[in-house]
Amino acid sequence: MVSKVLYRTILPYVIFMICFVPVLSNYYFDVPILRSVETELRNWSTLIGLTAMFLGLANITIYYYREIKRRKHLEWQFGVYSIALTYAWIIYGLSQGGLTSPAYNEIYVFVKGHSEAAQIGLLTFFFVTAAFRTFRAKNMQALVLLIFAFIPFIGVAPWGEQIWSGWPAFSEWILGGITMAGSRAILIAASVGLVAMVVRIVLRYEKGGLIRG
Amino acid sequence: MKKEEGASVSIWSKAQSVRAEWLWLVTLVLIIVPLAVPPHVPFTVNQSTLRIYEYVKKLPDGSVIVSGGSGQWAFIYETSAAFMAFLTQIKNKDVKLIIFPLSTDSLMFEPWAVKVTGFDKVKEYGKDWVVLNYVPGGADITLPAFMTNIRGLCRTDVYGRPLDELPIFKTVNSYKDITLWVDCGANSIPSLARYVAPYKVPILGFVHSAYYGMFQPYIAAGQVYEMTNGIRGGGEYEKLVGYTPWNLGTVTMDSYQLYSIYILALVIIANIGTQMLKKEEKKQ
Amino acid sequence: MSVFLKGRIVDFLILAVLSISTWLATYFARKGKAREIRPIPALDAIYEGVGRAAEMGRPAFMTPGAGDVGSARVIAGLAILDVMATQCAKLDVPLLTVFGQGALGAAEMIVAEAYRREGKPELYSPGKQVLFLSGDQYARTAGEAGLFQREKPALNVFVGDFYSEMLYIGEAGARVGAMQIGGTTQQLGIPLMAITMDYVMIGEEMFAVAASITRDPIQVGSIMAQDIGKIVLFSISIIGVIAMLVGSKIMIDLLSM
Repeated sequence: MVSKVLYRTILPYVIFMICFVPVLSNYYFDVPILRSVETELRNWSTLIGLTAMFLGLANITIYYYREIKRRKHLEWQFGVYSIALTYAWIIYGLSQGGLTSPAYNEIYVFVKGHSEAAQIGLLTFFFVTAAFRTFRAKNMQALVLLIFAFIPFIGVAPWGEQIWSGWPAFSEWILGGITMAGSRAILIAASVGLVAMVVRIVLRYEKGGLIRG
Repeated sequence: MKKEEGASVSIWSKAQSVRAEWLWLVTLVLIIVPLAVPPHVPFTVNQSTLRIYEYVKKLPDGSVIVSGGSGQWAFIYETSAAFMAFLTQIKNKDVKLIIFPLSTDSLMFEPWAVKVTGFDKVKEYGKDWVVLNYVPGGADITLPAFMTNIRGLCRTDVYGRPLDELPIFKTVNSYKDITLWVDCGANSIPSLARYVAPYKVPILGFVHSAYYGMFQPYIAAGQVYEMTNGIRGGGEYEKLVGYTPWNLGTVTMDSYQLYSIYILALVIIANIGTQMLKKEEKKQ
Repeated sequence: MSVFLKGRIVDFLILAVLSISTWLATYFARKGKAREIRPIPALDAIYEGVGRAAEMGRPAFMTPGAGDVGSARVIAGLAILDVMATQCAKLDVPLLTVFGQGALGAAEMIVAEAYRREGKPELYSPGKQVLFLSGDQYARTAGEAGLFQREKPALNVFVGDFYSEMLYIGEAGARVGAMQIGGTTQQLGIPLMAITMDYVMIGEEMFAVAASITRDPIQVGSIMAQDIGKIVLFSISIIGVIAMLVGSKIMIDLLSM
């Protein structure tokens, strides 16, 4: 019982405070020892990030292995494809000398890079259906919102300045003035919420999630 | 809305329930046709892009530029246009370029952009430009270390050569030696404003349209010198430098011309349709 | 010689004010002086969504998006995960979550704990509820879209770090008929959530999860402290604007100390 409390509650909190206090202090105070402690902690953080990659790899393997074994879905064959491709990519990259190998570079650019660009290209189409479905002015507020949303949209398009030469400058003003004010307000409010959440964690008031109060 | 048996469905009702696939097909046509038959729509150059162009033009000889951003391949077409125009502009200037990738994609993308623009053909690797190794951990971990001691963070370049062997690093090791920082990443501006700007290193950002408005506070606060606005900014920069091998920005503006009209038309039809359906319901 | 770094003194003071006000507010809240907070519809909808999933016999899905456990948004997402895992364990709803590699361990721990608390540890298994699809933003998004097509969740909850992929997975979720709830402070993600989600938590609403659900006076007290903090910061902004308008740079000099 004692060991469960130690493991689940006290130990995570102690580790959190050991990492939190030096990093926070180093941001404000000019103390050399804090700098070296923070650098060391950041190096450890990098190592943990690397270790987490293996955890992720294990997770993918387990998930797709289960999918293949169960064959619950019609597309279970894609699980075979996913596992095979994951390991083939790792083995190929290691055998070719890693990221600097020209062959690996070519495959990275022309397979991964362009697949990803194609993914984001899909947003072009999804935006069309989202705009058609959602951009309905059901009341005056929504209408005003819609108008102000479309001003910068048209401002970027070449035909906007054909209609009125001042349109790009006007849309820049909306983005740089009105939108910025709203962005700042959301940013400030979110930052305050973040500070409050961290203080709750430090004072052990935060229930649920990572550090249990 | 219920449809009585035998009653005709109004055109507005049909318009509201058009299948997504038809909308997508029209989108595809409107994007592809201008690529095949480019109309070369004219567009003016914005003040922000002009400021960037003028600033880079006035860089003194021997300037050291760091290209450090967490670029993502998913967004290549938005930021690469301006970044390639930038590389085209500095290609014939006496400047040095250090590529410091903040993500794995950036590690692949920036050297690729260098090759596409022919920057590597007029500049000597190791003397005029270098690609540093990627250090995992993100901007919050790597940038503070980079600004104070480059060799402490990166022992070698991406090809495994120690930095001490590279001529460019005989005179460069910290923020004091950096003249300019450019960012072609997705959202590295906040990190750069936090860790690079305090050292008074000017920052130029080639950002997406979606982030352009969002990052305006950094320009107003003086942390970032200027930014280009997405693909349009890329097209404008291409016009200023006299076009790049890909001309992505200019080509995309042709498609965007029709796409934007289409979206506007759809939204207008959707809104008119909603109002007309409301009236029909009231009548019934 | 100042022990503070240049430009950080006022930052530190503001942080101290926020922290002390949080502590004081929770202190007074424990003494019974907590104020009411408005309900957050999106959080209440999570319970409704899990119930809907139970009725339809379909799973519930949750993801905190791109970040790792160092991101406060992901921590807020983990708090939501706790709530969802508890509800799913209670109602025997299959739970599916996708996490980044950095937060995978934390997520597994939270889900295991939730199932254990509800007395159903046998329903939990590593790699079954908590999945890692990819560290890459769009590869993960494509995986999630595929997951929606195969598993057809009745409830999708997106609380954490979301950017442009929100449009993609929001539409993919809408096409399978899922009830969708989102929350992020990322300004790129908020408008995309607004057009694809049924319920949205904007900005600091997602940090108020525990307070809104439990109505615990301590949690509510810290929300009061957030409001005090906002008033302080907005006051500084307004004073700064007025000062600049009259030609004085006093606020800029003060904040640069």
